[in-house]
Amino acid sequence: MTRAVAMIHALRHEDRLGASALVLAVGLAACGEESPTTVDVGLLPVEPVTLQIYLPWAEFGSDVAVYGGYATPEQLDESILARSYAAEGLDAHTLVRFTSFPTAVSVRDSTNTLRTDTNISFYGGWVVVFFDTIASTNTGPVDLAVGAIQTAWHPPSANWEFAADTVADQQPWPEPGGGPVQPLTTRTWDPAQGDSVQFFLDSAQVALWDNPFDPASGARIELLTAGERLRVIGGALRLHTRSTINPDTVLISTAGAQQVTLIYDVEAPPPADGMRVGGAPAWRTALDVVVPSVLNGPPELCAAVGCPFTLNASDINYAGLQLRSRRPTLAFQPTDSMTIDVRPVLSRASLPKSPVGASLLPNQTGLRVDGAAFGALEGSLVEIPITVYARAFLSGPDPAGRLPPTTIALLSAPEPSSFAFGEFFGPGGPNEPVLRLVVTVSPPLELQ
Amino acid sequence: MTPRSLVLTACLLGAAAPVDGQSIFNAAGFGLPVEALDGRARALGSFGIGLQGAGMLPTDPAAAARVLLPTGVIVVQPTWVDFSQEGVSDHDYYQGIRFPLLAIAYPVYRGALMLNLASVFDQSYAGQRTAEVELGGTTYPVVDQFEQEGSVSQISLGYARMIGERFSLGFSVGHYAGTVAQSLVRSYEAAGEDAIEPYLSTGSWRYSGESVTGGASVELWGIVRVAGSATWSTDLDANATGETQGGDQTLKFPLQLRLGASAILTPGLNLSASAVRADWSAAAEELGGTAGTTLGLGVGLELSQTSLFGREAPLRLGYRRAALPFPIAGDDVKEEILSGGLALVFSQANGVVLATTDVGVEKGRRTGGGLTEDFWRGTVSLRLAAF
Repeated sequence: MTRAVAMIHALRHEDRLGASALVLAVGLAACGEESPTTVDVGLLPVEPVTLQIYLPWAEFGSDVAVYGGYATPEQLDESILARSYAAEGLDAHTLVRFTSFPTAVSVRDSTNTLRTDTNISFYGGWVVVFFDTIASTNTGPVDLAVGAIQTAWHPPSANWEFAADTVADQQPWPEPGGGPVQPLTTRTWDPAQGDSVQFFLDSAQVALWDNPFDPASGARIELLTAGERLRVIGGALRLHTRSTINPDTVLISTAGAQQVTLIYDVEAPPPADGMRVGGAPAWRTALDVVVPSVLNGPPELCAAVGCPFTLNASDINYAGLQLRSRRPTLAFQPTDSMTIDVRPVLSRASLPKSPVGASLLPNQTGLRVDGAAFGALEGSLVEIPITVYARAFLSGPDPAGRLPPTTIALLSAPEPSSFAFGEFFGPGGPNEPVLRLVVTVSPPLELQ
Repeated sequence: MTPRSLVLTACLLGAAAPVDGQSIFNAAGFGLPVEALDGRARALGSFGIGLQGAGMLPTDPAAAARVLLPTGVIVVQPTWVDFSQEGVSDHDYYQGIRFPLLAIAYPVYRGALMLNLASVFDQSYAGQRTAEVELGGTTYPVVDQFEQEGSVSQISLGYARMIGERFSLGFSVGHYAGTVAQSLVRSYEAAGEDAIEPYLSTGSWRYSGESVTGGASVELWGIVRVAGSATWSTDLDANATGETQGGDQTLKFPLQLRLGASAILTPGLNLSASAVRADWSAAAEELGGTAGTTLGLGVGLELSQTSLFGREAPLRLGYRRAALPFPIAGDDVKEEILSGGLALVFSQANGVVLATTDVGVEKGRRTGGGLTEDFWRGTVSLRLAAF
């Protein structure tokens, strides 16, 4: 024994390393794990049961409330022109403030060299306005006019009555509807001829808009033909430009639409019942949604796991709020599809000013609904997924102890996205909202 | 212990990775028994008892009495499996690696103190099932994916010593530990637009239990060694953890009896045989199965005077067959193995092996319940002494 211990020092270090390396190599050689996988159902737990449950409004919903006034028309990517449209006699004008005129252009001189010329002048041009021919109501020619605004106006807050309508400053138009204006020209737009109209202007007329810092700078575009509503999707000021480098060449420069807003004379009252989404300023609908934690049916569920069954968050595969579309008043009826979002209301008591959480929709980009659902196809089924909400509701407080929201808000995406709004039938009646749940249940997993 | 030995011990402990699933028979009962054997025992078809020389296997505590120097053993065991099912033409292949044994023995008080970390049951496996679900007139294909990941291990502390020159006794006290986690996921593969979220059900359990193993061995006429051991265990309790809705489970561990012997037939030729027996019928009642008494038998031959590259390299051959304790699909499971292997002695001094690697290669088959696994299994153990 003693001799053996004494021989330890004679043990070759390389020997130990060699033995260790062999074990390590064997270990690494088989490191690619592939779990044994069976296709024998006899070795698997009992098959789960998946079923649908439809809950009537009384079993999940309450406290529907519609709120308006979110965002402003100036935030829209579109505008509206209307005159005496629908029973409400909707009038709507589009106000535009153009960007500064270009200060330089690139021109080829007599040697065909491209040069930048800052000594340029403008001698007329035209305002071009683009329309959505499908979303506009007219099928024939309509007359339009453009005029120069004479009153200082505030694009984010301007409306039919006021040129500026902020908490600190409220300035009425001398004439409701953005007037008076300096009439510049009129044109006829025939959708059969194209999707745009040009208002040609002379040098003096163009010069009216050369200073975007002038608070009165702007053009008012109006529809002269009664009974129509047009959707404006773009516009700009094209300028005839002359360069001193090559005076014989006519150049076209562009002053873009820096700020665009629409003003209209009909205010939609809040709905007496039902739900409303969209518009500009926008409408939102808030409602409380309770996901039941105990189920006593249907029979398939009771047969699988017994009833009453305590529903857990992970049991819910899908939750969809089923709504039936309703036709809003014609003046505000969508003529194109609209996109709806649903978000949790973080503080119901703070409505209408409560913040809302992230979108509950799987794609986060909104649910597109055909515009016809709010017109000829009134009563169409629109199902809004709220699976994330339902699961959070049943999960209870988060790790920080915060309770999950119990209220959701329906709104347009983005907000605002359109002058028009959509409506849905509310509680009561055959078209009241329904909550559809897809639930999967199975007996608890057990050790065999 | 020297600082160097402490570092080595720490490395060995760190290498004791969780057992990975290597058999579909892990699905039966409490799983597939994983015997904590080294490369030598595997090559000889042994159940780890009655082999010549000093040993550090948990199944033969008395053999540690012959350990003269501080010694450590770590075992690596890769497996390659070809799985087939009755009536199914396709085969499935999987592989894995486990570290079934980590053992340390330290001479003290005219005997040896032992610390073992050993695998007991392997429970990891997975399964998949396809189905169809009809929702509102629309049929959705669904996939149920089940996974079970877990194992039962044992840590034991023991002592062994010689009584005279031929007789040795050993015992150990062990604690069973481990966890198993199950998950069942139902996925709605083709329901992307409807955004149907997967269903998830989970459960997890933690194991606990105790055991005592006692053993004795005797050398007869200088050429025969006979050894026996018995392991008594408390119930192995599986207690649900966290939000597991499934119930607790208890495995009534039977008394396990082992008997082994080896003999030097001629100089350089050893014959070994071993058997293990346990009555699992009480456990079967708990599990609702039909397990009964299981018996395992193994025999082996060792040519101890062979050499390779100028180093001593004993050659081994073995055969064993055993019944596994838990039935699968209502059928008993049997295992049959042919084995072989060798040792590479890297260093020895005055007849005391200081560094050796034992390699065992097994070609085996498990059958039961219409399921068959043909497997190759390697077992490589590294044994270092006087660290």
